[in-house]
Amino acid sequence: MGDTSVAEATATVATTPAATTRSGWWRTAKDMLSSYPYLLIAIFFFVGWQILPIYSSFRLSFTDDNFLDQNPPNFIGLQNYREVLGDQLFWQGIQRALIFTLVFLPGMIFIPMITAIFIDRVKNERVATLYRIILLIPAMIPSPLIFVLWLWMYNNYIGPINYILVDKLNLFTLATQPQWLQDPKLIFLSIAAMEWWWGLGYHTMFFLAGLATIPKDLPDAARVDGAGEWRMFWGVTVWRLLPILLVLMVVRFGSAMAVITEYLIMGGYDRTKNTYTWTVYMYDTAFNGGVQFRGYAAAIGWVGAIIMLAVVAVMFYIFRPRD
Amino acid sequence: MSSAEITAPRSRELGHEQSTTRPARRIPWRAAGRHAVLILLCCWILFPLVIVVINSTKSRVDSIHRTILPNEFVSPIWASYEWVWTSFTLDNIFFRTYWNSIFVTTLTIVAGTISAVLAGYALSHLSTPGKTIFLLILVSSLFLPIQITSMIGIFRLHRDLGLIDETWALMLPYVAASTAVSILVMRAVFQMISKEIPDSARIDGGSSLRILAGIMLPMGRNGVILVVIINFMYAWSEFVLASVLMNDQESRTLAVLMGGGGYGAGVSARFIVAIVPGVVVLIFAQRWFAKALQDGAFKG
Repeated sequence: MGDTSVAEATATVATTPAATTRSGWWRTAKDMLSSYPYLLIAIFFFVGWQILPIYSSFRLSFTDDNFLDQNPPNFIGLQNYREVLGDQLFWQGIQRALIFTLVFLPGMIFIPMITAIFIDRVKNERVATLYRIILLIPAMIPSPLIFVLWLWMYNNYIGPINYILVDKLNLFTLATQPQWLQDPKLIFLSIAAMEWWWGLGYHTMFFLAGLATIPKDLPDAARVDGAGEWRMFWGVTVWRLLPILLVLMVVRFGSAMAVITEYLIMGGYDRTKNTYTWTVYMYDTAFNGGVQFRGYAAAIGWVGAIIMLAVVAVMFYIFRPRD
Repeated sequence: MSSAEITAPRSRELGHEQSTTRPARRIPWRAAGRHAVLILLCCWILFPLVIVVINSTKSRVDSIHRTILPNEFVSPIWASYEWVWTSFTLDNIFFRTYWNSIFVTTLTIVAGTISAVLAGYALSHLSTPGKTIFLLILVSSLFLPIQITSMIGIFRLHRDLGLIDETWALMLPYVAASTAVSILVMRAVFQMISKEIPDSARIDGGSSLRILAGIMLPMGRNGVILVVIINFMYAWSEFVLASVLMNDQESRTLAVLMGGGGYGAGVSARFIVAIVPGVVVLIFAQRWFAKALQDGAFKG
């Protein structure tokens, strides 16, 4: 295929003088032939099951589509969006998701960060590996199993947590025991603690990867110079971990706002519960019982997504690299 | 390791001098404190799992009562596991869904990894026209809550294609969901390989596919393992799509079945059996996983 020319093609395509456009075109076409077959599979999946469904749910959000009648959906313009913006339940759902995110984020970022710093200091390689494996176990358990597991843990009757608190430590009685998943004040904390349990090892790995980029003699040199542990931490470690911290913060903000499986399994479809956030509202509207207003549900999804994107954009603006 | 080498001789020297004035051995309080915290965290991680293991050995009555240690264990102690094992037939719903999960996860890993390796190669070492646009679309897709926005669209698509209740079809949205991350990881890993290596192979007359398989793939091994793990974790635990697209109990996945809840000795034993594949993958892949993350997942 005469691929020797391909090597410098990237540079030449950009800088080809106007006089040789024909050969430039020729070269682009040849590059396409030799490279696009590699992208075919990825494009098939990405276009077919990401871009098309997103486009179709976007189009649907302007219609009155529902599950029960067999009529083709009618275009109704922005009516769904107007209704969503005036929908008390939707705004309550956004607010609930925000509160959960605020409870969830600090523990999801800082506990793994401290853990990684501690593991990084463990001198014995085998012991460090053992810590890593134990902490990573939850990451390999399918998420629905984790939610069921913690449903057992938090259970008021068979749950070991309340068993220890009530029967062993006598801190509470059966009447006053914490209602982990029923008390509106506790439920987000309970779910967040479960998420921390799940994410500890996984996030620790990211911070460990960041710590590995610190040259090993740097801390020693600093220590010889008489820097204390705290000065070391603030002077060296934090700066190395900051980029990872910010990336995780943005990514986890996104996943916390869009949490759905946890709420479906642990909270169900009770509208008065805190777990009835905008995502559950959407799922409930689209797939559960009754008429199943898919068009309206799609609009809920899109307004929520736009709000999330706006916050992410603001976070990017705040965290932008300033050198 | 190097820090140990540097400090070790010095501290021995110091210890020698101090042995006349102070006790020879001082307890390293800081290190002990760090280990105490780490051990506490490990206990926190293991606590619920230990509880489930204990539950799976309780007698049927004790396993639904308010105790941690039962009055009586089942006899023999593995009876619950025996019960899970003897129901190892395809018409048993637990093993039916277990098999479905393994089936879908394998399909997803194979298709997802091949797709990511090929695309990552095209976006790093080939002169692909429109490279920047592809990358821009991939990166920006990471920030959209795709699971939420695409759910209804995927349902309609599968309904129109007649794929509802077809278990294998779950791989289609699964591969798509981790495509962006997988491609970015593979691209980052391939990019760390110097351009001169494939270039010189090209001059020697190697086709680009042979360069990928013979040179790039072995060098980017850690990235491939990371991509396999990413796809495994997603497909093995996905819940929402699997419950929306599969109406029929028989065609659902393990995650959906177990997500249904219930408690008692039998369910606990099923739980332990259900998490085994993940833990096995973890123990084998842990080393490479750490390496791959260090190698360049961040440079993407």
